[in-house]
Amino acid sequence: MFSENQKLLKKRPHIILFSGFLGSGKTSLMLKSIDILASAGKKCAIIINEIGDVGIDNRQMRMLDYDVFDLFGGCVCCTMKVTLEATINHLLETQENLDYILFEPSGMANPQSLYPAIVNCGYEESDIENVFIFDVTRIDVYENRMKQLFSDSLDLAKCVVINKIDRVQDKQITTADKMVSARRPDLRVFKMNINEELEPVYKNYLIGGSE
Amino acid sequence: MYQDIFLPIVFELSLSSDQRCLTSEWKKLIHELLQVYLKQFCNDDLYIIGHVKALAVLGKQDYIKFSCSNNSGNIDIQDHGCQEGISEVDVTINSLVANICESESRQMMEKACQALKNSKEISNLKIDIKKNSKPKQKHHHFHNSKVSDCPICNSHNH
Ligand SMILES: Nc1nc2c(ncn2[C@@H]2O[C@H](COP(=O)(O)OP(=O)(O)OP(=O)(O)O)[C@@H](O)[C@H]2O)c(=O)[nH]1
Ligand SMILES: [Mg+2]
Repeated sequence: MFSENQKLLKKRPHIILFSGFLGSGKTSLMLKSIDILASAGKKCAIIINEIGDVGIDNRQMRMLDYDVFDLFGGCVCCTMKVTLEATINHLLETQENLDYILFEPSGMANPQSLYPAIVNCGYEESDIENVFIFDVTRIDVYENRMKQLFSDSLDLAKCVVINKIDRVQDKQITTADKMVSARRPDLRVFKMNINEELEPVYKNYLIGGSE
Repeated sequence: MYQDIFLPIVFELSLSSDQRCLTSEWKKLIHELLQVYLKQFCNDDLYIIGHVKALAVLGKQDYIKFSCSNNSGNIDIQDHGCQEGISEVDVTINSLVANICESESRQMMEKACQALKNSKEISNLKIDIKKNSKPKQKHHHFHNSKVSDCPICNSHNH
């Protein structure tokens, strides 16, 4: 029985959650990550939950020829949670040989609230590869207005990407680094400019880390 | 209390000219339009820009994406493909700014459109802001009190 369950778990696609505040770079990193995974021959499905009546990221993805599953019309709360669960289950049932599900929730969602829906689909919390994108230009917002969101995000993260490093001075990057290690000294941290070619260490982490 | 202060507001604009214009000309115009819109509040501490992003659709697979994600008012631009010589462009703008209500934001957008109407770049420019067809949501939906905390506001608003 145990080994049967394990076999089932093995077949389940990995879930990568791109979490981060509004405008942090979730879509940008997800697009690059899809490219990396696709070049490694992995089959990916994309789920986006965008806030607002009309989505922009989902349209952009479609124009780039990606198949996107929208959780549309608002945030991943109440009814949306059900939709997230249904969407993941739908993917699990209909997409053969799927290797990865990449999920970009709204930048307004607290990642904690997304976990129950994913767990209801048979995943363990620890299965969720939560990549927290820490926009270094937003240190002040996290420090002054969204402390709780920041710590919640860090608590759940499997790794942190401190990005937009091309936009700030070194001392801000150091501050960001310290903010992460003060709460989660164990976390793997990548520092990058997402708009540039991503470094092999991230690529390896992405492919190897969730294997 | 945190993210609930960011209210999503969507604008759908239709830009047209009596002549075919280059992608670069449309890009410049939309960039300017967003700059005028953002300038009205980005220097004021009261307003926090979450993300103001816009997608200008040029063709089936061609677009320009604009993004402003902090109060500097700087706008990033990403191009994908380009359609040369088009006379109409649809632009969707998603504006998430704390402490601005929909009518205020709409007025600012109208002001920006008005300011750009006499653009020298684009001949006989017309800008149409589509009226919102959907009913306004006071806050995001959250009807089922049985489920756990809402990720947007941790149920402070319900
Ligand atoms: N310079 C620079 N710009 C970046 C970097 N990462 C992301 N951006 C830019 O930040 C802007 C917002 O990026 P998105 O990927 O749309 O952010 P998002 O988190 O998906 O935004 P929402 O879905 O609206 O919450 C875009 O213009 C990106 O090009 C980076 O490392 N450096
Ligand atoms: Mg996005």
